[in-house]
Amino acid sequence: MKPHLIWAHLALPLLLSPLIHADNIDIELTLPALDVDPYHRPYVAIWLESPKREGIQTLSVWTEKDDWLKDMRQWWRKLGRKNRDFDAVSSATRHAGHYTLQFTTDQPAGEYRLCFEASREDGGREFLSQTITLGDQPQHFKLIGQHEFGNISVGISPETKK
Amino acid sequence: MKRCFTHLFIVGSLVLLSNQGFAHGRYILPSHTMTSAEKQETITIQSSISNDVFHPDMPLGNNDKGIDVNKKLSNVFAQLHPYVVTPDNQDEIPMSYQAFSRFSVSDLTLNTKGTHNVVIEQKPFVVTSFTHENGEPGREFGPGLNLPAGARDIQRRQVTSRSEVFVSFNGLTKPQTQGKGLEITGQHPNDVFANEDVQFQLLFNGQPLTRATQVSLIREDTRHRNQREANIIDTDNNGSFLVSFAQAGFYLLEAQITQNSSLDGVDIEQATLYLTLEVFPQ
Repeated sequence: MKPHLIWAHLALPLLLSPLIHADNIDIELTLPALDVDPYHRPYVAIWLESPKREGIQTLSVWTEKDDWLKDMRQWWRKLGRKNRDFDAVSSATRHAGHYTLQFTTDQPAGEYRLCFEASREDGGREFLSQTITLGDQPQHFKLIGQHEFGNISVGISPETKK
Repeated sequence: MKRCFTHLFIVGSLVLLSNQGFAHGRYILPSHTMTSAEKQETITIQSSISNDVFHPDMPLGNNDKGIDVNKKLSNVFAQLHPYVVTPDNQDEIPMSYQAFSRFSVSDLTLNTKGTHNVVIEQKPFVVTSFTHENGEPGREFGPGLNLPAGARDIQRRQVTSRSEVFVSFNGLTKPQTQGKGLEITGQHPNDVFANEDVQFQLLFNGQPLTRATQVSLIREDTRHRNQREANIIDTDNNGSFLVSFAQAGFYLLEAQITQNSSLDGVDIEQATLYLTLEVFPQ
């Protein structure tokens, strides 16, 4: 049995326990197939901000060349240009399709904005965000992309671990 | 068999802004399209290869007097033909563009009354596209003499383009078409105002098109908005179309036609027009 399940069985009040919260962030994300030629795969960033829109943590960056990182304007402003922490969570750009992503964050409980940005050469740019609460009840959200994103569904499920 | 230049097909979405990377979008942007002066007026013209509209990315044209750090474009520049046609088709003056890292630039002094056609032609250039043995797409500048073993779906495309703008000094004269590549005729390009219907017609090698196609019009300043807001317009069967501009500003008009080729060693011919229009407010 995993440690966090043991803790759950002991039913210790969260507020009194010396526990560290962790939240799973499950994302189903669609990059729409676009009938354009040439099609450049979009650069995509997913990150957390504070309610006051301060950059907190980059969850994922899909990128090829640094030249175009700055075209994810919001992410670049909030996190990208400040340090290279995102190197640890960056990966190659992806073709149009449906992607299932899972992140775990150990940010303190509270309210955050989960942000999505996509930018495509010779194309457009789209920014979407959703207010979420970490360390709280499970939550589900659906975001509707209009241009560079299709639908995005978000599941937040807190877990408690030692 | 009909004429060898019969339009066997024109690609449906002709608005292939910048095909396959070889040609990114390109443009010529003049400091002024309308000028008036007692004796003469000098304007400055910027040219660039860029996918953002009127935000420069790479130079277009190089007279070796600038600072071209991007030497990889020299094979493109070697095929450029920059010139100005003076009013009433009287003269064709060569132009010389100085390259910098992000754009090329040239002055042009106007002292003949009327409309000047500022052109950068890309002379025919073969690009070979193919599929690697492993399924990845490949491309090579030139006729594909060094393709990797196992290359298939080999297509040799001869591309040409015409980047142009019209500039008038002390009044308008009717622009003369050159009969080369894709061009536009109809409404005077220096007499375009917002919220008026404007009629244009595409010509290919001096002749009206023989079937419908599409043109794209994109307003300047794409970097400062999230969507490109391209206005895609269907032409009629002769390449004519009607457009009205909701906002003043510089616009880039792009059109492209593709047709099967009977030229030796060429499968497809492709011609692209990049026309800069300045639309004035009412």
